[in-house]
Amino acid sequence: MLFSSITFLYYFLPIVLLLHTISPKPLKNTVLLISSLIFYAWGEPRLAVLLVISLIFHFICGLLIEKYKDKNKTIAKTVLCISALVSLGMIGYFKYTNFFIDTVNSALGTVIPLLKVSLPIGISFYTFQLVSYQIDVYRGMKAENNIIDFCTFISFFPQLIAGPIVRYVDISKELKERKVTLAQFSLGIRRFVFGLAKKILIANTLGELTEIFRASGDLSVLYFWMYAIAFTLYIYYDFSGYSDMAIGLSKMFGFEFPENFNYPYISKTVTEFWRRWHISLGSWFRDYVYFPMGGSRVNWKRHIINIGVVWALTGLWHGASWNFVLWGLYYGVFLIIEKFFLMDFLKKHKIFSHVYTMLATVIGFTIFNATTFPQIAHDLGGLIGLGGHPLVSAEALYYLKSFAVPFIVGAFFATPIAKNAVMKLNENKTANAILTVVEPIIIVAIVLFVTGSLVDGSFNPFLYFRF
Amino acid sequence: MEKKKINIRNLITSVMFLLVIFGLFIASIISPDALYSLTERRTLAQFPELSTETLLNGKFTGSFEGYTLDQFPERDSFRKLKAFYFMNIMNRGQVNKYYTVDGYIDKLEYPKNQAAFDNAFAIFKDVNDKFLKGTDCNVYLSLIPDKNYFMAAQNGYLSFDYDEITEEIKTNMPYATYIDIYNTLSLKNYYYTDQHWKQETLMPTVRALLAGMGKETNAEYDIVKVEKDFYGTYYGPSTFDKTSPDVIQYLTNDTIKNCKVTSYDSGIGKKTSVYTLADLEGNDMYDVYLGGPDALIVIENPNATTDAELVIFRDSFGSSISPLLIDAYAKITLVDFRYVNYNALNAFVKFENQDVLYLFSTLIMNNSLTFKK
Repeated sequence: MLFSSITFLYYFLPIVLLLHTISPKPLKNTVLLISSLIFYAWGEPRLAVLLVISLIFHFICGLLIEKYKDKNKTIAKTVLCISALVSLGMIGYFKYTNFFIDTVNSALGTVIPLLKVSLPIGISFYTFQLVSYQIDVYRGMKAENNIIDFCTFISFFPQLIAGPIVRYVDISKELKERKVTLAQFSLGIRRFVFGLAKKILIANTLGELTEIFRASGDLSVLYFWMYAIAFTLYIYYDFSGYSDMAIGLSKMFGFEFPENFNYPYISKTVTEFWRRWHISLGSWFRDYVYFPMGGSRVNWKRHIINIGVVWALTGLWHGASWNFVLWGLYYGVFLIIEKFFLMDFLKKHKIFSHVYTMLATVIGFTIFNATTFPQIAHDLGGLIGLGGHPLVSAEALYYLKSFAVPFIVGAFFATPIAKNAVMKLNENKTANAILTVVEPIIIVAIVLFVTGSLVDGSFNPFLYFRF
Repeated sequence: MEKKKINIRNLITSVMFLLVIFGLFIASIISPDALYSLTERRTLAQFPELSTETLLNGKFTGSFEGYTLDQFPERDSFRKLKAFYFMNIMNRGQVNKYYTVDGYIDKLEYPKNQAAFDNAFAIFKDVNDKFLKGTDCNVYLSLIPDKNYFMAAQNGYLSFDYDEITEEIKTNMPYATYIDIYNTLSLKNYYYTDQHWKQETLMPTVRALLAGMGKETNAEYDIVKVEKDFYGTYYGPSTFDKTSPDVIQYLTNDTIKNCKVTSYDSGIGKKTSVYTLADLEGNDMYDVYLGGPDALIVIENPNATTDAELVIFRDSFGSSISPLLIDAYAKITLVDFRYVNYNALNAFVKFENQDVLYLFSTLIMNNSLTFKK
């Protein structure tokens, strides 16, 4: 099921909100658990069984780790390793087996047949949650001893299939005791609706240009740049929109999820960019891969290796394809160069550093969206005029005009200008009074426009679902 | 005081949001399911089959979303909201490739599908080589410009190079004499809400075609206006609000009334008429012209003062212009390659000394991969 669907907005959400509101406190998590499993099974009925089995297995592992971590560290470590192997084994099997087979076939000229496996939706997210949970328990966090609460933590529908990667410590208190206040509920609505707007009204519009570009036979350097910038904005609005919806929905049910995006396109270094983009993934790799490898508290050679490994894995997490590994390593190189050489210079030259960061980001996402190495070469080459393409083409000029407003809107709302302006207006009595009327109207208008788009549209999944 | 105002805002926001989602949820449940959409001219999805099997194999859940989209309350109003958003707020100039100029709705036909054009040329050449070469048939071709020719480039939309297309067709069909009808047409010859041309405006085009084939007509017609509003194929998908419906008119006289029309669908001949008035109550009122684009239609003119015959390889535009050509012929045979495998043509038509006219719109040329082979 998708958040941006009629089924979710006008069937699932009202029913679950109602049931959650009227159910007594001891049953609220059960309501959320059952709803979440229905949410997941709606798209993957058979793989929902895999999720349930996985949840029960890891619940038991958590309790065993907690029981033995002080009494018998070997057993605790063994259980931790087994649970991590099972989690990573699952993601390895479903996501990377065919990648591995394909690589072997390419390298050795063999013809090993690919497996017919489909990627269970959300597996990249919930397996990371499970691994982090087990490691945190091993490190001393209290394990969850209520199976309903544990299963709700992992399967809670707002974050189950595309994050943020919520850690147990983030919501453990709310799992036990939460009260939904009017302020929290309404903040949740705002967040959810603005997320819907980002996805349906902005991301989908810009995504359309990327598809038009791919189908075009009238390419030009301008067109390549339009495509690259459109995709850069599209992926931001698609993914951050989804995160906003997840965070908003969690608030409506009394939970506070961590932020996942913090205006990454205002960054002045690539290092800063990755502190603002997909924050939950970055911090996961930092806490469970980078720091255990020694982080920066090692010699410079080992430090570079650590960064390289983390970014290769980050790339690989995004997709079972060498272009994703290349994309990850691309950022790894930037991070290394910034850390060892460029940081002071970039801090002193703000305009240059912002332009440099945006260029690096646009080029990075161009690599990200290519499916093969030849396509990477084609797309990057097109940006610099290689491939014999003219500077401009009739089609590029037409679509530049046709998408001018979406580009401007996309660029504007990727900055905190609007948010800061609203915050300032809230401090003024008159403006506050006006916003009291205007804001709810805008919220409802967005919901109605989104509904219009959904009713008239077709299937529109989130880009990050393929991860 | 300020804290209270924020709480009021929170309250209004929450109440309005819940009213919308619960209100539309209840409306979705209680409103009866519609079978058919008049504006979109299609049947609507019904509640999918619910069983353990369909739940487990994902068929129910897969179909449920389509059902909710099709049966959503005030669906047409919501689709118009989307059009408003894209046209007026995002300034996209088009919605789902549909755009409007001065009340005329059209669908962007871009880019040119060279494979489709090459496919059409290959089929036409094959037809010529197999059935027309060596006969006394006079072979002609004419290209019908689609509405984009009159609307697209002039209003900043992407457009074919129609001059280039015309030259390409002439070059690839040297066995046919080209008859130019572009200069007989303007946007006013077309419906506001449909891709087709209006029969009542076609006499200059008819005369140009006939003149190109060495024929002429002095027929006079009575114009019959259909009182029911005509919403063409572009009206539903475009959801533009400011376009008025069209009016179907058809031209008739004694010759047309006396014509014997036989329609061959799947090889079985069925007696019909030039204007099938029952189709005015159907999905597409334009089908009133010869009952729509059937595979093979034969019009015989008992009032003919000649024994000349015409074979038209055509698309749906041919349905409305053919009745106006019959005055100059004893028999017109219409063949639609989308429904007839051209390799079986000689089973239906004996090519001897007829006028043979390839009459296609640029739309069909750009989508000729639908031609049967």
